[in-house]
Amino acid sequence: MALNPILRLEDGTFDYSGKAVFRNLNLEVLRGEVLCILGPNGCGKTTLLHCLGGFLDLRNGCVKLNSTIVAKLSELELARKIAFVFQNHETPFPYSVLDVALMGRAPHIRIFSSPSRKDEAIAEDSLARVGIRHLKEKLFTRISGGERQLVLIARALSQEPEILLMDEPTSHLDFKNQTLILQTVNKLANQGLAIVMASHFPDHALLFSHKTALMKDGTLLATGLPSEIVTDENLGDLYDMEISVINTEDPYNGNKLTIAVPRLA
Amino acid sequence: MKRNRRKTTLFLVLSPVTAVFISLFLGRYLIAPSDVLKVLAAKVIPIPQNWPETLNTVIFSIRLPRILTALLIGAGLSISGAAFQGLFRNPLVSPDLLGVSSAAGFGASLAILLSGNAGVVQVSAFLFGLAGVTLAYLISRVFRTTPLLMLVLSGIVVAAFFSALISATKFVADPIDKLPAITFWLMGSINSTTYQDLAIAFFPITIGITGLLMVRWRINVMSFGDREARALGIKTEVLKVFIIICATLITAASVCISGLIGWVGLVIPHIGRMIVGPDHKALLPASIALGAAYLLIIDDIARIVFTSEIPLGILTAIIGAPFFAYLLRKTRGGWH
Repeated sequence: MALNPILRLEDGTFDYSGKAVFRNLNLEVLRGEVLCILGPNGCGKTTLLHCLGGFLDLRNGCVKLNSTIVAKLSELELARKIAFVFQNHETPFPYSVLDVALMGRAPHIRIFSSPSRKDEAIAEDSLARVGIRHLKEKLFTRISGGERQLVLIARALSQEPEILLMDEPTSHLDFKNQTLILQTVNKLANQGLAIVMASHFPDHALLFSHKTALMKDGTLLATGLPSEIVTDENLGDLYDMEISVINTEDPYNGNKLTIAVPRLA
Repeated sequence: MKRNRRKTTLFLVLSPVTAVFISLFLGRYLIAPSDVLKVLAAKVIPIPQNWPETLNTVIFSIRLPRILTALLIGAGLSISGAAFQGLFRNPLVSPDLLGVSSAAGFGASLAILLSGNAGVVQVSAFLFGLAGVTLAYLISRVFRTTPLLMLVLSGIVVAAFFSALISATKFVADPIDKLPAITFWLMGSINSTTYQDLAIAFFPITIGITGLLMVRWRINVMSFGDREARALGIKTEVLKVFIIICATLITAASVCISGLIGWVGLVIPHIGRMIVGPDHKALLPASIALGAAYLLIIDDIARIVFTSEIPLGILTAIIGAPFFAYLLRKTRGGWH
C-alpha cells in the first residue's frame, strides 16, 4: 500500500506582523485518514488550518499537496482539491439547502455560467452522502445547527475535493449532533478523503481520529496515534490541568474505548 | 412546483408588457387600445392611415421614448440593487451605496452652474458618478483587498462629501434660473426624455445588466462572504470589482438622464425575493422585469393622476418608503 502523504506541512512557520503564531511545524496526512489537531483555544490551530488550505502564506517552509507546493496554486486549483468547513457562518439570505450544496460546484463551473443538471445531481449526491437528502427543499436558515453543519460538509463534498479541512466542526452543537458530525467525518475518511480537523475536545481525537497532533503555543507537543500520545501526561501539559485518560470497555457491545476526564479536586 | 414556476415566469414576463401597453393609451390625451394597436402595427405592416397624425406624434415621439426610458432605468436600478444586496450581504443596501448618486448629482449641478447645456450636464453627471465610486473604492482598499465594511463606510464618506458640494453649488447658483434648474434636476424626472437621451443611457445600462446577469449565480457564493467565496475558488476581489463596475455603469447612466430616482433599487429586489426566492440566478432576471414594470407604472401615475406633473423621484419615494415599511412589518425584518 502506497503511503505517500497527500498533504504535508514541511517546517512551517507563520507570524502576524512579526509575532510568531507557530514555528517549524511538520505534519502529514494520508488519504483515508482523519488527523485531529488538538489544543486549547488560541494555540494557533485555526491559523495552521488556514495555512494548510492555502488561505494564508507561510513565512517559512511549505505546504505540499501531493508534490505540488500549495502557495503556487490559484484559488480555483485549490478549491478543486481542498475544501474547507469554517467555524462561523452567517447567511443573510434564506437559500434552500440544495442551493447551498450547489455552491460547492463553483470551482467546476465556468465564470459566466450557472450550474447544470449534472452539477445539481452532484450536489444532491453530496447531501445523500451526509444523510440529509430529504432536507434539500428546506431553508438553510430554518434547520438546526447540526443539520446546517452537515449541509456545509455536503457543500464541501460538492467540490469533489481530496482533502477536507474542518475548523472545530462541532462547536455550538449539542452532544447528539457532535456525535453525528464526527461519525460522518469518519465515514467520509473511510471513503478515501483525507481530513484535518481542529478540536479542543480530547475525546474527539480518542474516539474519531487516526492520527492526532497536540498543539500548544504554536508548537506541536506530540504527533502520532491517539492511543500512544493522548496520555495523562501529554494532556496535562496541553491544557495545564490534571486529566486522566481511562481505558475501558463499552458494557453494551464490548468495544474498547479510551476517554479523557478531568481530575476533579 | 414546476407549474408554479411556469406561472411565475409568465407573470414576470407579462407584467412589463402589460404595463407598456397600458402606458401607451393612458394619458391626458386618451387613445383607444385598438388605435394603439393599429398605430403600432402600421410600423410593421402597411395599413392605410385613417387616424389623425397627432396619434403618431403622441405615441412615437412623446410616450414611447418615455416608456422605454422608464423600463430601462427601472430594470437597471433594480438589478443593481439586487446585485449589491447580494454582494454586500445586506438586504438594506441600495445601488447608490458607494456614493454614485451624490457624485453624479454634483456633476450635474456643477455643469448646470457652469454651462447649462443638456449634453454637458449628462456627460458630467455620468463621469462624476464613476469618479465618486472609484474614490470610494480606493479609500477602502487595504492590502489589495476591500473589506465590505470599509467599502460601505467609504461610500458614506463619498456621498456626504458630494452632498455638501451639491449644497455649495446651490448656494452660489443664481436663484432666478440656475438654482431652480439644479433643484428640479435633482428631484429626478423623465418627463422630457428624448430618443437621444435614451441612446446615451442605453449602452452603459445594457452592458451593466448583461454583465450582472452573467455572474448572477456567483453572487450567491459571494453572499457567504469573502473568505468562503475564496475557499470555493472565486477570485473575490476581481468579481467584486466587476459587480461594482456593472452596477455603477447602470446607476450613473440612469442618474445622468433622469436625475435622482430613489427607492426602486432598494424595494424591488425584496418583492423579487418574495416571488422567486433568494437565489440570485432567478432573482436578477425577476428584478429586471419587476423594476421595469414598477417604474413605468409609477411614471404613469406621475403624469396622469395629478393636474400638474410630479417629479418621478418624489413619487418613487412617496410610494416606495411606505411600501418598504409595509414589507418590513409583514416580514418582521426576517426577509421571509
